[in-house]
Amino acid sequence: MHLPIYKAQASWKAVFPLALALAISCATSAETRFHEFTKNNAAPAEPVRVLSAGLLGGTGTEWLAGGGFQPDGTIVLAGVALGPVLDLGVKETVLGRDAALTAPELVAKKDKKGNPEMDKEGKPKFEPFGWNHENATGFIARMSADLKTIKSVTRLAWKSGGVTGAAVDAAGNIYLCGPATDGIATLGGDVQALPAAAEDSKRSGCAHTYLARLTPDAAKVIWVRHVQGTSDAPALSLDAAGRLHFSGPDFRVLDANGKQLSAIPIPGGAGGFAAVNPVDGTIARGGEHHWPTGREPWRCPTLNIHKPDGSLLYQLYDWGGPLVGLNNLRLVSDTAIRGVTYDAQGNLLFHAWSDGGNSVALREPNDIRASAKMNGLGFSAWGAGVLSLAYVVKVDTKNYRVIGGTPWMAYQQEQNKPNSARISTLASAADGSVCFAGASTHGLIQTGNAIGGGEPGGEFVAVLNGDCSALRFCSAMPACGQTIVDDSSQDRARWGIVSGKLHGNPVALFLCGAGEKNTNYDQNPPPAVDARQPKFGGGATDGYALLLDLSK
Amino acid sequence: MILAMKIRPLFALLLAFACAAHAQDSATDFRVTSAFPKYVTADLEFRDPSGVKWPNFFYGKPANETGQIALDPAKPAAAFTLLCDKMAQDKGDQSRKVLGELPQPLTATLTITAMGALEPVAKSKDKTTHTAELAGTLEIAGRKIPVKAPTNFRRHDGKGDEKQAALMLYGQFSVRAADLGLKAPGEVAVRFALTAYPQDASRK
Repeated sequence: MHLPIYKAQASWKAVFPLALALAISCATSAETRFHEFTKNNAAPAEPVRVLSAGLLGGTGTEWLAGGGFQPDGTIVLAGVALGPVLDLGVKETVLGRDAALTAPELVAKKDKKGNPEMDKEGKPKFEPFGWNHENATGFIARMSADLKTIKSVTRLAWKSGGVTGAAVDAAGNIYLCGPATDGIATLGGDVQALPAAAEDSKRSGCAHTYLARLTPDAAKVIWVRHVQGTSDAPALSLDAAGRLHFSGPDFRVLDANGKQLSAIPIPGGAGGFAAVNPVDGTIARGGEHHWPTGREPWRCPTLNIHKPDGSLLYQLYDWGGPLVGLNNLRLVSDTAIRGVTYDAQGNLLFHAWSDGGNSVALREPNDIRASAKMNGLGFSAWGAGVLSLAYVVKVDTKNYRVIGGTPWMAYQQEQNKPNSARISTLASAADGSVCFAGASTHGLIQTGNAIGGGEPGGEFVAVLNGDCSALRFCSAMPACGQTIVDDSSQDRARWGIVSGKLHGNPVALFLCGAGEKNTNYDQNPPPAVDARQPKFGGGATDGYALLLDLSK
Repeated sequence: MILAMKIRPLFALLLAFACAAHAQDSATDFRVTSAFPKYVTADLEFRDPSGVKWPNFFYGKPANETGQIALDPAKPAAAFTLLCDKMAQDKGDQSRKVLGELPQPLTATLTITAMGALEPVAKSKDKTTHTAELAGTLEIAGRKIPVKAPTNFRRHDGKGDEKQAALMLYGQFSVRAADLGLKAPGEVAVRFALTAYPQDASRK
């Protein structure tokens, strides 16, 4: 149709304001998946309840790493102090003979070119303190069920041993593990050096480890077992029969009296991440295999299942780069398993990383052409460039099929694109919920019950329902996750997660070291909810505990 | 005159592009060779139709440099051998897999010797897709099994991850479990795939 010029001009004049208004409207109201998912999770269908969130620290440097729940409702918090004092406001019981120590020195963080890194205020950044610091000394704080009252504080002798794992059995006995020095022999009780590992683990975190049992009041040591040999951060778990599974230079099973029942080398040697199935004793070991085939992907995930004697049972996911890169698959995103654990029913839980959305993490562990059942949250990576995506996957160990899971990522607010997120700690809760923590770029999808109060990014904690199809809780945790708690993840875990029953209700504890205020996306202090200690105590970090009621 | 001299190279370049594009669209002869490309181009998959047993996946390359596919409707032809000598997830207990009973390690070879009539896929949006039946022999665990495989042929235009113009094959057939030497009754579904390239692919 040809309009006379004047008519066309008139039409244009009429349409222009409308077009402008439409353009402005689109520009200002353009919603992305960040807005969509944030809205969808504003009122979770199965929300958790925040019972308490707050600090536990004095003028020295401390963090929390593990713990448990005693039958009378006492909450056991176990952590690490770097000194030079541990003044939690309650006189502490000291187990063993203190060694001299000085205040830990901060080490400036440097970029790849060796230049000091600065925060947004132009202040220097520092390397996080970690579990294997030379000052690392374990302590236990026994707390009331609401975390409002400290019942007792027990500290190991300065520099005798740190804490990277803890457990509490049904009778309330307390178990600790961690890196050790010769001072570990001074703790008291029945001290025995176990035979060194048959094979050098070729791990480099520490050279001496221990496992100890304390009385329920944490006032005395019943026994100490220690092992010479290089190790990553030691780990500890209790199985259904009450046996202790200790991961240090190798895997050992001990009874509650400290008698060693078995020892096997960690299957596969150095590298990777391992966990013991509490139901049948099989061992899962995750990691990655690099394929220099000249064609993507370079990193492929490995997930091997070993029998309790260490021999290989099943090889999962490890398809081989050449197969994965075939034109008829093209699952070209580099992918790796970054942490493994089991739930109480023996289901395998792991978290994975990929640098894009075309990942084998979305396929069945034993069938590369079968999509896994793991899109519960509806998160997808369409529109993504190269970034870091995370995955939480639950696998039934009867047939090694995925029974739940989800990709995990942030979403940009200006463009409808995913943003990076990483997971560094993963655990199953007493009610089957899936708990994890990590770090996110801006655009974290938080639930309406979030407690961060600031920007949607940085350190976060999250709780999914059992099949990972619903978000029960997710919150940015400003100033939290400031220390390296253990080595359970490639991204070096900055949180310990403990779950159990408190007065019959399922609960979860997220534990870490927290700084005075955030230096990332906002300047917020660590979130405080019904806290005994809302204010920072001093040193580089304080312990931090978030207690969630998982009851539905 | 000067203008003509200036545009002559441009014209030649455009002509070359046009010829190349036409050559890609109209290529009917593809080679199936171990010499090109350097990465894996073939895979074979064995699957329990009931889904109880875990599948077996093999991958590899053409067995030699002489394989050919002629996608000529007037005279279709195929002669090539896929040597899939790598089995994925080949370590540990194999008993849950469909071929778990067979002595390990395994190599699977598919030799194609004949090709049936070439037909366009009905109502396909992708007009470059055709089907034909390939005939040949599957060899595994010392057994040779004659097979006939309905196969899809899809032309790839050289865009995206696969930078070369190519012909992508996807075929499937079934064999009796007993013919593979398995004790379990019933059949095993077999699927194979291959990327073949135009005759001049490696020179680009």
